[in-house]
Amino acid sequence: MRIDYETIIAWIPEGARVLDLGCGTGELLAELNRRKQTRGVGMEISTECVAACISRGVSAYQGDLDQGLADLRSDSYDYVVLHQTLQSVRNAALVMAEAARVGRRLIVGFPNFGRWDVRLQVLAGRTPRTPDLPFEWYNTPNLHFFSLLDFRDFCREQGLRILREAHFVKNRRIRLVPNARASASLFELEPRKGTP
Amino acid sequence: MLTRTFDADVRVFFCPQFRYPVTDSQRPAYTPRGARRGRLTFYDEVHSKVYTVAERFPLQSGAVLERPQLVYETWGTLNAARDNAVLICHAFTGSSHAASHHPDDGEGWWETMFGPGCAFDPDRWFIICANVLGGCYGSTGPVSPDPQTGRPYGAKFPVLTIGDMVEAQHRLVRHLGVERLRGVIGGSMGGMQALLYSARYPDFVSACLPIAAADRLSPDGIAYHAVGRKAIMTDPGWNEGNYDPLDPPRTGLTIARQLAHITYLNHEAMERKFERHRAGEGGVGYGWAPEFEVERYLDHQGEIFADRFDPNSYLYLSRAMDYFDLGETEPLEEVLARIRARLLVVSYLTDGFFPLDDMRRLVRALKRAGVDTTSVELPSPNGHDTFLTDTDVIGPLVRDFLRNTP
Repeated sequence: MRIDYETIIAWIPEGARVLDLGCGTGELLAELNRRKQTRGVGMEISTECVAACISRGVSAYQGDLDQGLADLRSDSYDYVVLHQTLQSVRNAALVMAEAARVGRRLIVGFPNFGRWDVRLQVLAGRTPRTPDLPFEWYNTPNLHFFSLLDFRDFCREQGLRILREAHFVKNRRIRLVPNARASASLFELEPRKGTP
Repeated sequence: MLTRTFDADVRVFFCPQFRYPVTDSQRPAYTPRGARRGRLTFYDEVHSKVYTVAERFPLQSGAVLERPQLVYETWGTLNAARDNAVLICHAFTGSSHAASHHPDDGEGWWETMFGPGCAFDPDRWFIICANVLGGCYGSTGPVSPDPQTGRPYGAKFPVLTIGDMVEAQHRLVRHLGVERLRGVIGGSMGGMQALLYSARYPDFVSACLPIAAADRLSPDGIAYHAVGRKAIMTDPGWNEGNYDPLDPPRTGLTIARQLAHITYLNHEAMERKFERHRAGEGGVGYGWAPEFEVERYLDHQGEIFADRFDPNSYLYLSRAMDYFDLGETEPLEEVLARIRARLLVVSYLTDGFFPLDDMRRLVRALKRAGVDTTSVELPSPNGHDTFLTDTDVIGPLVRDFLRNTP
């Protein structure tokens, strides 16, 4: 199993209520439900992906994250997962704010734009293409490009406390100079919420 | 061109060999009207069984039906744990004959959903489908004889609700020895029944699959029904509901059905399906004969429907749908929060009768009620009727959802 999935599964406690935004074919949720007895539900824009969730036995809503999560009650999930999703939504700040409203904790994973190979390609005057960002500028589903330093700033501004981070190169976890080396990063966040 | 347009509908809507079972026994007293034009049948004399719901069956309206009967069919066998049963609730004009029982049978209205490896696999599930109370395919309804007079009830039949239909079917399901339904599924009016069933008997249902059906009928749905009923009731042949079932008010029923078919496709689907195509030579006729394909389509749908359905039944079943509103007496979310089943809500993007907005309102309420819900919005050129015409898409979804629901 992919190390990012393994990390998420390790971070989420048994029996948690999990909402996976942009759940794809439901692979992560199926594993979580099986190994951590979570009550997971996904949200996905693609009909084919929801169909794949159904055949895995994973519950999922078909919907567009950019239309918001207004249907969901505040704090109705223990964990909201945004894994490889945030970079491709239109309004990332709004989606994050809504995820923070709906969940008690967030897990966010994204491709790190601060990696050295990306920097070199930008220096060479090119739009970066890497194994983690494999698309051309004209067909990429990724609308936002950010490094893990950018993301830490973003969390501070949004009132999200960083509980832990994990950084990966290929299928290996790394600790040293992650912003220059990591191809993908994972953050566990806790929204600072006023007492209701 | 005309023929090609109809192709998708032929399996479902050419419905020959219709029989009016006007007595409460299995044997219909009237012979079928209309020629046999295909293999689809709506009433199966050989495999239908009859269940008497109760000596006296109280309805939601306060009226009481004496010895009402349901005609039903089953496929597969109930397992030892008595928990492999799936109830299919048919739509407005459907019947208990969802599928054939052997190769010599006429095809059922959901034929392609049945078979090994399909959604309704008789080797795995014990599948039940009953004609609803008020229907005209064998169960007690306006064409049945009134025990007081021995003549058909006609418009003296009491007004029914979706709740009455559910109650009668629940008694049938219990009578068959089922301890828990693995699934209750239906499209349109059948979806209303599935939703209500799961909310009313939460501990009895594991999976609930409403297709093209929301928590209530919209005001425009009620409006279309009202005009359809007016077409029937102003047909001189209706005669306050006291017509001879062999000589029904055909014109009114035809118009009602044509109107219904207009609502089943939304604007976009109408454009795509018919454009402004003309049949035949395609010239302008400068007259009143139907020349646009959409006109011919509606004429065709109206005619074949009038061969197979009872006008009084149309009134009663459409009224029952009008009355359906899960959130009428208490907040919708509270009603839905009682549901313990997993839900699969299937919407069609081109549905004009339960448009996406209505379907999304249901899904939103289910989310807020905390019900374990999966929702999917499917494209299709066939609008509301897609669950009947394009089973290749929902078939695998239904199969997997039923299998994966513990």
